[in-house]
Amino acid sequence: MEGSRMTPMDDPHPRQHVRGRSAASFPGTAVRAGTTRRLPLRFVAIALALIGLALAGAAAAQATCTTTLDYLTLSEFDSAMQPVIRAFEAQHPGVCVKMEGYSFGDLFQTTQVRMRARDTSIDVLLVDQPVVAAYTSLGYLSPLDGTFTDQQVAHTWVQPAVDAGKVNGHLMAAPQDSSIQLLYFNRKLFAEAGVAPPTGLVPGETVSYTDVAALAKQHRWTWEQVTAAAKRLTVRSGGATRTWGFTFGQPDELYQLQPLGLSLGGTLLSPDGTTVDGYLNGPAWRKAAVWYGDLFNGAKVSPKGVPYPQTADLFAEGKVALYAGGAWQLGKFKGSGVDFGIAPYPAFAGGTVATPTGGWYLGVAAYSKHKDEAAAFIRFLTAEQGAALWFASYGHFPPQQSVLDTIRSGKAYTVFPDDAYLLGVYQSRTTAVVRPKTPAYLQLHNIFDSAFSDIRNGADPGQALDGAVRQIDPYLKRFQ
Amino acid sequence: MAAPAEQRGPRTGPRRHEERVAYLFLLPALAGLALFRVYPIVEAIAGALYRDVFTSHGPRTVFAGLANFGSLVADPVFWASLWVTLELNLIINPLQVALALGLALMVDRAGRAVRLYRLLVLVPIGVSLPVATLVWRLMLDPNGGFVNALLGRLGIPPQPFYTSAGQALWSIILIANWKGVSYWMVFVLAGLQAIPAELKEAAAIDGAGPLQRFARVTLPLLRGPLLFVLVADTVINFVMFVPMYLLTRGGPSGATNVLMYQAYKVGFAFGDMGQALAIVTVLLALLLGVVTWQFRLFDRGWGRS
Repeated sequence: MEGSRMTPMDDPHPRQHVRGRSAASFPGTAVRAGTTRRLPLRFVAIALALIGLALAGAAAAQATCTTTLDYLTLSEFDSAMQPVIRAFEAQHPGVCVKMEGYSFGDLFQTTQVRMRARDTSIDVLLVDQPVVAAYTSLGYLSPLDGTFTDQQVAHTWVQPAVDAGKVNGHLMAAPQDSSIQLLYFNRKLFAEAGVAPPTGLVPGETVSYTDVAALAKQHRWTWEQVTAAAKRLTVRSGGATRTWGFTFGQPDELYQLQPLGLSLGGTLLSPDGTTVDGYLNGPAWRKAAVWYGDLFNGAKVSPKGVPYPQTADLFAEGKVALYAGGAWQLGKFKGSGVDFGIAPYPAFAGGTVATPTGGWYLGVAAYSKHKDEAAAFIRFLTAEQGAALWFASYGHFPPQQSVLDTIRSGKAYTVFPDDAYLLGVYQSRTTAVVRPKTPAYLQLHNIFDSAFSDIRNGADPGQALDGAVRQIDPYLKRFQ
Repeated sequence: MAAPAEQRGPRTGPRRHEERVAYLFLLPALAGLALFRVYPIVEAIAGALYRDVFTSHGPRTVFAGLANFGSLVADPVFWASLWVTLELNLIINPLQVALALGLALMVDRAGRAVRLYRLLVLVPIGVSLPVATLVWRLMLDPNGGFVNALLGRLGIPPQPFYTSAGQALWSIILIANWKGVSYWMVFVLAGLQAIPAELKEAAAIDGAGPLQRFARVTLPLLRGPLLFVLVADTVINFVMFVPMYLLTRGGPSGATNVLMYQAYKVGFAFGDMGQALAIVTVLLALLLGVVTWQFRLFDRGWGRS
């Protein structure tokens, strides 16, 4: 504004200055002021109006979200969770849900890092079933007492799912999902190799629950059969492998591998939960570990460096013949154009049948500032309308009685590939085994996975298990 | 305090005022040092003396004295991790300094081809270590990665690289060198170009051959830059973490489980912060010892003129 006090005579470089400032501020240029003055004013008016509108818009946006819940979750849930969130937000005006997604591997560590720092910005935590106890003892979860009525707790979910969410009689986290594992097989690759595929669910057939139960009882493949078939299905040329015989969906993961040891009569932990010595490194687990290592290093039927979830891409691209993995991959495989069938999860010959299960739970983060709203979201997703929406959208095997009833009675679940859920109902009733409930699960899980990763990379199975035992035991003792 | 200052005489009057002003100007930097260097170190050492006791109602932090260090001593994984850290640093630091020196000598010439060569050598500086690790992860992929394809052409069987206990540490050394050497080269090159040409000329006139000129003139005059590179490189490599996190997760069989990664795993995967801080404290002490030794080595070996 100092320019307005100047005359052109005072100013040594009037033109240069005019270029940078509004012409109206220079008395010497007042001849043209009639036209030039109006224009900026109009611009100012328009700009002001726009700013006003923007402010009003921002205020309106804030008015629709008086509370924003931060839901720390898996990035693979991102799009599938949107219908649930929209329905919840419609029912709870003013409450918005923001998903913060991480990969499976990073979710545990992100939760640890942020909850240890007492992060108040997290409201809802996605908790892996066996970690409920650990997160409770670390003080990460706020009890869900009062979120559900006793009636709801008793009748909403299957009993094992409720038990897994309880610590010392308090419901600490509510079950969002359960899970089942299946053996997917590529029918085209089997036909090309001239190998007889497993008996299983295939396109074009209609099945009942009785059929599915008979299939699981009489035609379940053994892991020995898997290796034998996989050897014939693996195609190599010029030093590179074109088609792999078999892969686990989640290599090295305790969740998926626990049935190997159980099937051979072993357990991970002593019955009192105080040691893994003599259990994880006992004869059953040693045999299971040798078989696992052979997949990658002896028979070489499984790819060494393909982690979850890229293993599912291999199957979807027709590059692996047998894939042991979750029912939640069904949607991906349906859309991939692969000609596939579904068989029950294998077990060792003559051994006990054990199939993986477990699932994701939801808990209120201990340092949340919106605990009531967080609890309302958890109730909506695990026990109210959200549960059915979520199952329809993502296809994780459900723990809710009402959704399970839909599967048992629904026509859609008698035809391929959704009849896999019927097989899931059978598995969850008869063969499903959850992971150990120990407060040292975080350590057990991490060290178990490292040991099997070493075995996959060629380490001696017995030594790897002994090493894992030496690392896990001190933690089990500390949590007594 | 005042007496010795007065004995020296000039620290009175305006001189003392000047000193105060100087300290005043230093204050922001000193405060920054205290806040970002001293405080975390004190916090880490103090935290190593505490331990979480987990109860069914949540954790309680209790004073544990030296218990965290006691369980470290009894932990074979810690000792293995300590050894991997030393092994890595014994190899990588001399190697990087030698390579940086070699590269700098090659780059320190005139000519058009050298200009292109310089550019190529400097490219890795612009790539961050995480990106470099991910790119090399693809190139070294044991199932049909670029490097194995190349080896196949030469009739060499495919190598397991980072998936084998024998080659994992070397794979990381390769990646760290690719990323790091050209950066360190810049400092050595600056040192080389600061050496007056007359000195070399004089040596040449006195009858010194190229090797002698390098050993008697160039190398002694590079002592400063080389010491800086060695110390800074050692500090960085002792706390190297990214390739272990992104490529090997400390494996296979603990072959790349350096103390930094072990501390991260214990703290954040196992939730045992006291133990993790104990590992960090050990790492810090180790680093301090090694760097002090390096300074002494340079002082004694080449004697300051």
